[in-house]
Amino acid sequence: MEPQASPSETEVEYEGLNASPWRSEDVWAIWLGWAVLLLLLAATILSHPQDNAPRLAAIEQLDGQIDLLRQNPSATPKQFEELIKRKAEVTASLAVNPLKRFLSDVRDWESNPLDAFRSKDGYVLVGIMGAFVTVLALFSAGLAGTGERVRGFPRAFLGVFLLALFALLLAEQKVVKHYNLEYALWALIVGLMISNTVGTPAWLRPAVRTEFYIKTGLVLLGAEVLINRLLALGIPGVFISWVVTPTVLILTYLFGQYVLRIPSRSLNMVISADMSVCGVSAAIATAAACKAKKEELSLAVGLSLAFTAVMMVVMPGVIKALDLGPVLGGAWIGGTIDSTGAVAAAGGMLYEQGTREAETAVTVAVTIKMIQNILIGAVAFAVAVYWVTRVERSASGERPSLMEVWRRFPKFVLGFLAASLLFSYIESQGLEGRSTVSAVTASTKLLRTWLFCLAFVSIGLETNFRELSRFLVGGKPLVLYVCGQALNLALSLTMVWLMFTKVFPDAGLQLLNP
Amino acid sequence: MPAYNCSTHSEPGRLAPGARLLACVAVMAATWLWALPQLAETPSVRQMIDRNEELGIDPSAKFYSELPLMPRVMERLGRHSERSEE
Repeated sequence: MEPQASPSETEVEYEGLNASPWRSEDVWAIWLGWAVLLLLLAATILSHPQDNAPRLAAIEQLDGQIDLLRQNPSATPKQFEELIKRKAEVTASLAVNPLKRFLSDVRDWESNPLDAFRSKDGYVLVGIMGAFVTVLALFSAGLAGTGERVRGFPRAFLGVFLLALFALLLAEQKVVKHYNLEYALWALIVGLMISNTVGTPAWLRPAVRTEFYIKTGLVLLGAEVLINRLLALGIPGVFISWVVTPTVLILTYLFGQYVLRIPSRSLNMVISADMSVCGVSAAIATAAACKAKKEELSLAVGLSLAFTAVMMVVMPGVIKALDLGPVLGGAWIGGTIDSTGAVAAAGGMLYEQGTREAETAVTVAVTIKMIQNILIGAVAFAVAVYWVTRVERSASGERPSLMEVWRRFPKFVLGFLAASLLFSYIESQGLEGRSTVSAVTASTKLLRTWLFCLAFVSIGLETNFRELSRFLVGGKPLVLYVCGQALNLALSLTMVWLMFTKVFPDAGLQLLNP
Repeated sequence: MPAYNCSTHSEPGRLAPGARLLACVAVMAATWLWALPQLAETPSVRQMIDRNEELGIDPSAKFYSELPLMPRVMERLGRHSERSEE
């Protein structure tokens, strides 16, 4: 028997469903996200260098130098890295985004927080102000579009933005940053600190817009979900990332439903997704797709960050002890550690810096994680469809009609997928297409960082500790995460071993060559 | 201005809301301005930070596109796939 979901889960909130869909946050998240994407794309295309021929010739020349170096047995990895780095720089210069300097977040710092606002080009403060003005203008338009009051929003937004800036400043301290304690955690803590001490002032309330920030940020994220990178590591990569990951997600969710009987399906889904796919970004995407409660997202993010910090340090030691080698070790790390940055850091710990093995381990780990990152679009879409067709039922328990499914469907997911398709197409248009995508996403990822940070500050401002601790009763979320991760570790290692030693042993050997 | 939700009222034996916020800020300031900079100077942490910076690794990246080393990784992968086709 399937555990009974609570009424709040099964009964769809009809409030707002009868309103015009054109005035919904979902649709306005698409308008706002796409307005930004198209503006940046147009600016980048219009600023296209008149003559790229010298750059293309330089790339060809660098290719020749790399080939020559490959034939030289005494060539060092550092020599390869320098040429590859140079080629990446020249490739990036094929497209220029003139608006890039107007958006920034804070820089990392060690002992003086003011270092966070300094950079060689001096654009940090301009960029932070640019981000403030851009998000303020976008969401003022968004609130007007959804029929809400805009009055009071600018003042409230200034307050929430400053809290988000403070959270980013905390996250960019080097020790915090290098232990992968991401801004989502600090944004949440900053919000909680206000709401659980002096209380969230009423004047801040108009800018506490968790879902709106998240949905718009996810539409922007679509531009970074480039599906043509799916085959970056060939068939082994697809098996490790796109077979093991969904299997672990589904089995963990079923374990949570039927064995642990977690009362909230959405909490179960968000934890299963963030543990199996790619941590915080997967948690944000699935939470929005299954309309999870804010506290559930907070809990899932907290669990993921805590385990990521531990796994990032422990896994390299285990891999060294098992003598798995750079390909198997890197792939295992990429398939199991939640956060992308932590995957790269753990991969870098496997071998001595500057060796061929170290480069291979980092390359394999990051590529497996990148392929998992791309899965985020498919997971968000599948969860949204599953939720509106199977989980949300009417009060009478009947299956909803197709029209009803469409009305309930979180439409921002379509904006997210459309952005993914458009930018994947642009990237497939050769070197210049790839550079155009990089130039545009250099700005969208900054804006997305601000939006997600604002969302987590908003969650903190709306939550109190008692509500949060209610979800931890019985420790079931923790048990779910630990059991799911254990399954993930076992299945990933089995698949990695099968792919790189039995089915495609040549692929593993080739990755060891420069 | 009224405050929203949460336990903002004073209870006997507890600090006043404003004092609690100040206490939190003081703990944060001590941690970020004194403890963490000290920790950054310990050999193992210093080594980890230096290694990540040298390799172009941002451990706080949430998505592959946020990693500074990604263009180099893609370049390496491009060469591998070219070689596989040969």
